[in-house]
Amino acid sequence: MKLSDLETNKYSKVQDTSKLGKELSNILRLRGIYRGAEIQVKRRIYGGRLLILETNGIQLCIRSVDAQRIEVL
Amino acid sequence: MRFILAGNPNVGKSSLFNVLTRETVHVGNWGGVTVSEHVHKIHKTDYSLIDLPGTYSTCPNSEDEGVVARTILNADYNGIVNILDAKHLKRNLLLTVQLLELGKPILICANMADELEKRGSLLDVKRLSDNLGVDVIKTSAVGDKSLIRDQITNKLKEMKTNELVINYGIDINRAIDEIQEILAIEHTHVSKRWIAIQILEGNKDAIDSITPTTLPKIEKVISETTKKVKLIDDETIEGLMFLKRLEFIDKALKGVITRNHDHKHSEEQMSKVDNILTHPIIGTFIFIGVLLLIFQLSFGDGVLGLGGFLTGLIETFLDTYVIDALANISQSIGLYEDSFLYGLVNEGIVSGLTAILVFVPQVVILFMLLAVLDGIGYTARVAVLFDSVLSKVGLNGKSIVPIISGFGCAVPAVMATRMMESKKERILTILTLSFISCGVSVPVYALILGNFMEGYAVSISLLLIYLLGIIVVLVSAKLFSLAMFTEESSCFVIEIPPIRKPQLNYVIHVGLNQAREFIKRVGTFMVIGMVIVFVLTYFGPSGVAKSNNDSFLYFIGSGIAPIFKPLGFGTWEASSALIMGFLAKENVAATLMLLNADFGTTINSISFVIFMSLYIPCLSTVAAIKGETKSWKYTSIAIGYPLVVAYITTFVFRVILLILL
Repeated sequence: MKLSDLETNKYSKVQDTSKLGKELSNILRLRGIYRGAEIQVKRRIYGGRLLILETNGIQLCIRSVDAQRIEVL
Repeated sequence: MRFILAGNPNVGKSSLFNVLTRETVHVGNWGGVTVSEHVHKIHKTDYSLIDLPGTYSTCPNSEDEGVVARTILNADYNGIVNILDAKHLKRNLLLTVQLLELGKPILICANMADELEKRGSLLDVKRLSDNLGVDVIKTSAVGDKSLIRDQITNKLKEMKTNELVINYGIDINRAIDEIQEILAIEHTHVSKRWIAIQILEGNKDAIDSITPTTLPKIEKVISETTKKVKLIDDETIEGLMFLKRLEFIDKALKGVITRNHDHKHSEEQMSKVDNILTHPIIGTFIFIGVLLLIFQLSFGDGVLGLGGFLTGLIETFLDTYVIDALANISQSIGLYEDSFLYGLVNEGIVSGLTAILVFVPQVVILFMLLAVLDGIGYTARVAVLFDSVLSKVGLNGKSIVPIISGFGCAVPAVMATRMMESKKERILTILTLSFISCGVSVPVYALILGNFMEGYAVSISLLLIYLLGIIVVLVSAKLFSLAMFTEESSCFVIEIPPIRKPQLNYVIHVGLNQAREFIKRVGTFMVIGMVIVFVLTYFGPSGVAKSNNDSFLYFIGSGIAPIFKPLGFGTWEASSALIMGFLAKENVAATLMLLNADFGTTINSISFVIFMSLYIPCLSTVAAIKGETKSWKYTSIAIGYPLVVAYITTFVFRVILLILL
């Protein structure tokens, strides 16, 4: 399943970030989005164009187009 | 002895730096506040401390993170003070692991441990220290400052070294050994093993630090290892190294944090506040309201017009006591009223300085309020709020951070773009920043607008000028994005910090620091500018000018004045003021006052304000743009483009105003 399809407030685990490309994958990995990390979509803003995520107790905001390239379990 | 202060963004590094050095480095509640290094002595010691930008890794992903990588690789230092956010140890320790691999003496400060305890968890620093093999202490920048200073300073005397060797698996371990061998003949500041690890991770600065002739051999090792790691672990080299480090961190954190109770209530409250602040409509109205309040407090008159009130007080004080007293002193030491020196001192320097000094309270209040926005974590939420709009024109939500910073001063705003990962968005932000009026320009607008309006009308007009600037930023960014970097990809990743109370001491410090900087700036650019203006008005082609119309400045101003005739301010005084504004924007007000400039009509005055708000970045901003872009092409665009835009925009507005009024 894509991270962008994950229901709000449901927990999941990141499975694959390789579709993001090397650079963005590196940036997200260091901020807590990596294979095996527990992740939750806290909120959707602007009709779902932006997602507020929580991973390891940290809230991050990413674009939905990028979340579509992250696979979760 | 020199020490590096390193840590993730938004862990309180700059706050601790300020505590240790008693300086007032900019502190914010979002990542990216520090974008260059600051070096200061630790208070009452001979130790120097280098405050670096926050970074998640020694392997840089943006320009500010590159500053950290280059400092670690090339600077001379005796040890590292690594600041961690005690609430997010797992992520923070990823950088710690890289620093431990360096094999340099290291002291770890688990900062904000008090916030962790408030959330119902306890941190066992002794166990963490044992697991990492180096000293770990709890710190909090809001606690007893001298106690924290003594605690850290004492530990610096006995810092421990524990060169961490992580087992990255057979293939990566072998690659590290092979690259180390290739690097054997290289002269390096740090261990060859560390450079080998960084090269494998893709650290461009580490690659740049070695002799180019050794690169083909290293590339061969990387290529072979990449294939093996992909085949066996289905990972990239850096991905596998990351996971191995996480394994180490999980072990190091075992039993370190004890949770007593969950703290859900405040999280729910914060979530509600965030929902409102980042709501596309309500959030935008709140943002406009916040800006309006800031302008009213900083520059308005009447209710909440604190800046206007204080400016009035200073004006009265200067008029009553200072100006006449200085004129009397000049006469008592033998300077006659029509002499060159008397005019230079009293009509040039003193008039110019007093014209600007009255604005000090306004600038101070503006900077204090911007510091409050940063401190509470509002800036990051504004970045989220505006990403959707900004991404449509080729910018990024993060562009709003330099834009807000530009309300204060364009120079730090240009530097603040370093935290943007995409080159395209960074350059576009830099090229459009000059359309945001800086803090010292606004009093000039207020001065001109104040001639024919008062109270809230001035604040609302100032807000409209800012809105015009923002609209021009958006349109220009869109045009630039269609013309350049069309292939560049874009990404927006921002951490949402918790909402915190601003530190009052810090806000006052920022205000006073800015007042000092403002006066220092006035003391250089302003005095130089005023001396130039006075000399150019005192002398003319025929020697000492009999009147202003016989002066050099008249001839220079008159030379370009016809260009501004269609805009309604084609006078030599207005043209001269605009020329002096290139040196520093505050010179515009001083020149206008010195020359007793009169725009004639309200529409002419408004046209001048619109033109001035868009026309050209000041000299120091141009220098910052050249420094950041390292390109004459972009610097030339940053100067030439605003001139054209300002002219067209002012002309259009003038025509509309002439039709309407």
